[in-house]
Amino acid sequence: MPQLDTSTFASQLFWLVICFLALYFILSYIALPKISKVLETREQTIEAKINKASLYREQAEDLLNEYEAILAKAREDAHLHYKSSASAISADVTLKQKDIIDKLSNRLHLAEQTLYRSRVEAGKEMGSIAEEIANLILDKLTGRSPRKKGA
Amino acid sequence: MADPLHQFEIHKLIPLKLDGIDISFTNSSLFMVSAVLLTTVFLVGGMMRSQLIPGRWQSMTEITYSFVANLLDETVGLKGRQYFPFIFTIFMFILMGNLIGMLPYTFTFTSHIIVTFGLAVIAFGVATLIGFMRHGFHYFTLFVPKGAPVYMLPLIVPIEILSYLSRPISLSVRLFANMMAGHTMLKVFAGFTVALGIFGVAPLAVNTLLTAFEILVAVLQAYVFTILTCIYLQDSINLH
Repeated sequence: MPQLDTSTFASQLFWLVICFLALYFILSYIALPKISKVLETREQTIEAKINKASLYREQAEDLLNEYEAILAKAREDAHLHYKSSASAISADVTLKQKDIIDKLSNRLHLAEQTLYRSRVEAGKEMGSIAEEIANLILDKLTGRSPRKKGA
Repeated sequence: MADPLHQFEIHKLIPLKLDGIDISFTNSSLFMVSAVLLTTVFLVGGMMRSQLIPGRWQSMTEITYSFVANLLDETVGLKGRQYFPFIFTIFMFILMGNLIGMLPYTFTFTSHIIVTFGLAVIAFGVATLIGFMRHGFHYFTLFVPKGAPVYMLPLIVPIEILSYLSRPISLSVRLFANMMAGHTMLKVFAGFTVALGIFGVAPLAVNTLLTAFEILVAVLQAYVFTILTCIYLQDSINLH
């Protein structure tokens, strides 16, 4: 078995140590720093992009919230506006209604007064007319002039 | 039939000697160097034109990176971050060694016990060193399980020490045995394919499945070695 030939051991160990050390120094000073730098750069780039994306998402969410707030405020404003104008209109209507009713009832009252006065006057005239008629009838029947009132 | 162990033989490519010790550049060394170069090309090449949105190659590089990073994070936690290059080196070196070995005519350096043992000693040694650097002598409390009755300690502590010291052995034997067994089996079935002539179709089919299985094992063993190193590191950092 060639593996047990001790005369080759020194040479194999010698070259093993040489090669191992050479590889160790090549890797630790040339190859590995390059790879780790690239990996680090990539990690940083990805992280930066993810941060940027999340920033944009936050901004978008803020905008959405702002938009919703504006919308809600506009809705409320409209509602208030509607309420105030509705109450103003109804107040106006009530006022005008009252005005008209007042005017109407005034006129009614006046008319009633006129009617009453006429009736009273008519009643008074009726008395004097009846007296005249009675005097006339008496004059015709008796030929005597009627007794003057208070006479 | 060809010797299935022939593939594990080591040939000197450039004979070298240092202070009387043979440190020749062999086929094993060649594929170790290849693994280092391939790993470098794979990782640096994938990041050549690094973009925010990765292409295929860059994706593969990044997936490998995050796979090991997650492994370390899950076992050790944030304190383990600073040891990431070490863990990643272990993973890539073993993974590349195993995967290169799956190509025909190549040599699998992780199929040699001395190499896997060397790797295991590096992993174990670094973990132990970190443990002592972080906790000093307090690190020895690792051998005293919490809540164990005092009269049991004379029994438990030696067992704990033994199991601790056997870590590099189990770590290295697992990788070595898996790689060697798999490659030997592939070679044996390949030998059957040649020997049986027209009936060699059957072992060829088996070999096809085995190749897929061995690729899985190659990745899995690199993963297992790495996660065990992470667990040892977690022991030395957090003391259980």
